[in-house]
Amino acid sequence: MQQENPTVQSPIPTPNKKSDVFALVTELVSKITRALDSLKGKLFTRPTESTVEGGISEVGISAKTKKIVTVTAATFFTLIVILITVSYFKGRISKPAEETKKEDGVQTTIIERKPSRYASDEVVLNMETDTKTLEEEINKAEIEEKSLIPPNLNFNINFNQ
Amino acid sequence: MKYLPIALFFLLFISVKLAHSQTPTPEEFNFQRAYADYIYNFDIYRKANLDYELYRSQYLQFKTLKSQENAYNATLALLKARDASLETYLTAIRKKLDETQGADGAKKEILFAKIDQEVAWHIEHNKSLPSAGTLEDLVGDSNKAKSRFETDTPLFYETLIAISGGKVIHVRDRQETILTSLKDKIAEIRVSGDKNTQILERWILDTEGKIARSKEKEQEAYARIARGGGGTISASSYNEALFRLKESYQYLKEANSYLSEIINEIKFED
Repeated sequence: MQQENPTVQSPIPTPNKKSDVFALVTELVSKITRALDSLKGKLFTRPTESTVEGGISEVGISAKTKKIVTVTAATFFTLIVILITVSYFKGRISKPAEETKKEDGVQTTIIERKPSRYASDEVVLNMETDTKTLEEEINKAEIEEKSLIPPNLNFNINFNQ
Repeated sequence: MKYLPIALFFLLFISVKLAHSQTPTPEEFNFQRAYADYIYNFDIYRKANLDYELYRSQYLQFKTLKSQENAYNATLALLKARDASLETYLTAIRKKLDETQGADGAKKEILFAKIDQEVAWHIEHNKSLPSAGTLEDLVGDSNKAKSRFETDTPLFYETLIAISGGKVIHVRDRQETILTSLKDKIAEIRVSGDKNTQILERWILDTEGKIARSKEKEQEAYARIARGGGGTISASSYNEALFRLKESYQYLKEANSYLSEIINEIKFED
């Protein structure tokens, strides 16, 4: 019989750092939207159809209203910038993690081989030395004798105009 | 005091020996010396050619006796320097061929005889240049050297190909020596039954194949030079032959890396 352990859940969830920032930003945006909605009715006066010359109606906006709108727009703009910045850094942080995943996929297998009795054979060792020496000489040597190319001499000797 | 004359005699003997060992002997004339001579003479030639161009243009412009005299002297100096350059160049390529291991002995002798003949001609031509005469005389002398140079050109290229071919042959000879001992060792392993030699024998065949391809390319190079024979070997046929020799050398490089692999395989158990 398995007994279920009663788990005490904390009222506030403990998300990780990245999601914490994100949640905070989202909450702020929603709060601002609600505040703007509530202000909408109070700030803007319903246009009173006052007839000016020629019958054109006017909408009146007070200086205080203008100020509040400007501040709200600036806050909105700042929040958008913060959102973009946060999403950009989030992407950058997650990139190296992907790379390490790829590396984990590649595995090199090293097969250890047992040396034969010819590994210390004098003839074999001599042949190995000769081959290595020859390889060095081959890599160093130049087949073409560039310094001995026939000289370019002037044979066009004449005293005609 | 009794031993003083003997000590003096020994001192004198040692000092004479030392002095003798420091004087250059004719045997020390090698390719490096010959090449340095050629570079030195070619430098003199370059300066002489610049003087010739200058005095020639002055003569053509002014036509005075003085400008004619200057033009004559400058041309004479140029012809002499040109002969010396060719003489030292021929000596340098002769020395290089002589010192190149692997070059075919019989071919060497043929080329040496031809080179010596040309060196003698240039020395003689140099001596025969008149210290006084007309500009036309010098033009005639120059034309003789020009036609000689044209007939010499195939000899230059033939010698250069013999030098490059010698290098290829030398490497291949050494590889074949290693290959022979390697085959003997594999035969020994097969008899003892220590290792399965089937792979090794197959790799030996592959190595022999590379060496055979190298030989084919070398023969193609000589064929290119021979085809251009009869005094018509040009720079282009030389370049084609050289390209074949480079391919031949590349096959030897591959054969050498195969040899290393085979030796490495022998050193480990199956």
